[in-house]
Amino acid sequence: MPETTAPLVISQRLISQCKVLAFSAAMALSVFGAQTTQAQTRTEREGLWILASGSTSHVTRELIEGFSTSHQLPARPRLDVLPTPQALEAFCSGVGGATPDIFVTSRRATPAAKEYCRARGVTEVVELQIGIGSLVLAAKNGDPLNTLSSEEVWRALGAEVVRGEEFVPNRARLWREVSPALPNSEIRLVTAAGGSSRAYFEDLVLQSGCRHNPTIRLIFEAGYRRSKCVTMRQDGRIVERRVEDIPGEILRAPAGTIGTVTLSQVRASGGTLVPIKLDEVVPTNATIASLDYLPTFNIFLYAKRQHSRAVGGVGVVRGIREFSAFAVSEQVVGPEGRLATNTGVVSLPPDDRVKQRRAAASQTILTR
Amino acid sequence: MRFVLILATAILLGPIAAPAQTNNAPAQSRTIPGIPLQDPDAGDSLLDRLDRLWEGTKGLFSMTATINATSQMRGGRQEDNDFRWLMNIAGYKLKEIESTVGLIPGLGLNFAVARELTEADRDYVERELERHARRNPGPISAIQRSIVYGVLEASDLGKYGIEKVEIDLLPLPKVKILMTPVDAPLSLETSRVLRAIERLNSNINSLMPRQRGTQLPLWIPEDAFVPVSAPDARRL
Repeated sequence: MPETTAPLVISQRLISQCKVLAFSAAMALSVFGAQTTQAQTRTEREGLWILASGSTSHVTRELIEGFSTSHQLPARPRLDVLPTPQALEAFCSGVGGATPDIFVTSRRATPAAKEYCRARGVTEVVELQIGIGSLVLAAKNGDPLNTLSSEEVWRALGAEVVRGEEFVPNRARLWREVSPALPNSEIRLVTAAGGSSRAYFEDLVLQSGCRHNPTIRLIFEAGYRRSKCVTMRQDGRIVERRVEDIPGEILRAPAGTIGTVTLSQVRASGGTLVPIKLDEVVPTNATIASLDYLPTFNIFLYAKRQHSRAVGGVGVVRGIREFSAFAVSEQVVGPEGRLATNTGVVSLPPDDRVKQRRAAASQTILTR
Repeated sequence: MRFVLILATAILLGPIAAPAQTNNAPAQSRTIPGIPLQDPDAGDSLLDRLDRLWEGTKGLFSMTATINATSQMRGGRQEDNDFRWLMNIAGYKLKEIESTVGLIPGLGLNFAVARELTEADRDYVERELERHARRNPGPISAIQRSIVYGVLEASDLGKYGIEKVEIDLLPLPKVKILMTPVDAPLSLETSRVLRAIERLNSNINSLMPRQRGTQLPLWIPEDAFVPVSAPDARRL
């Protein structure tokens, strides 16, 4: 019996020793292989190529600034600011070094947009929500005009108003003519001549104000209905300025003047500007984050995961994963983060921020 | 067999009868005043229960015409758990309510397209759904939202348009979305009507110059009308 067990024990030892050897050899080979692959991998481009819509350009610049200072990059990311449809078209135009890597926008990709991307080979897109932007109506400190509804704003500033079931030119001169509860001051608005700020005012305030009007609701065609909602009066009561000049213009203007600004501009005014309570909600970080304040928009980041992979030893660019992770990190999107401090973007609730970080780490592909 | 039936009935009715007995006992022994416990209604029959179930199911999708007294309007927004409201802002209006009374009752809602959505309208619906999700985390609300999301996504397919959304609540929940291609062939009736209109147009165009004897355009330029001043009018 012992004669038979001894060789068995020896052979078992031999087998286990062989296993250890084989495992270590495999490990060594895999490490060596990885090193050779890394050494052979080259990229088509050195720096990231980022697209931003007009409304998110300041946020994207801030992200690029932070990313460039906190990471060692072979080249600074390139930023192109385009209107959302063109930016989306460029982003979804295909895969490869000649197409952008990242797109920052304030509109979530629609199923049609996703289909458009898929049809052009852009099949692996990561969607991350960065934060919440807002549009604020502000007046001079001490102005009796401190509360409005979006419907009152539309009735005061729209080119036409509904009388009975007809559209007639808007002749209201004073806020009191719009609603008896409003002050007896002249209707005046300071807004941006164009760009995202103007677009947000039209979409989030004017359209919101006219959306529930029974006569407007009867209009089937979207384009015609929109024109009835966003066409503003041309009798000199709308003053157009550059976004950065709006706060100063409000301060110089007579009582009853309101302006479209950002929350960060109100804060930067040091109390000379006060936000107007819109639809009974004062814009604050809390009311914006809870979605109680209506004129808000989400800021999304779309990244092409296909660009962060090497195919046949050639990759498009390095840094997509790092940029995505940086864009949703606590130091950037947290309540005291870079975006909140410098751009007025309001943080998502803590659970949602964690969810976004997880999606960035795993580079979860957008499916819906 | 009869014993089994009696036992089963006792088990079924037991929970209904039991509270009435237990409610009385503590009322006698305790003297602390408070809100009196309520006995179940005397007429709490199986039919009453079915009726309540029916009403409750209807209430889930807020299909009653009257607005709940607790609902508040703020900026035109109805702050309650209202499925109709969500469908309404998504561009669909309640067109029909189908209810069937029978052994297996049936209940369905039919929605039709009321208006196209602008980009801002679409964003607004998504925001409202997000708000709805935060305020109403229950499963029924989640079903409501998924229906609206589904309708919203389906309406975004460029080559197809949603014509009708049929939602069956009873006996089994089901959502039917009727989509038609944008360039769908016309029905026989519609094409007949269109041909008739075309014929009428061509007849009018061919008749107009002969009757008037001139080649008048069908539109008259604005400067063709010269305003007549008061002295000219007197002279005339």
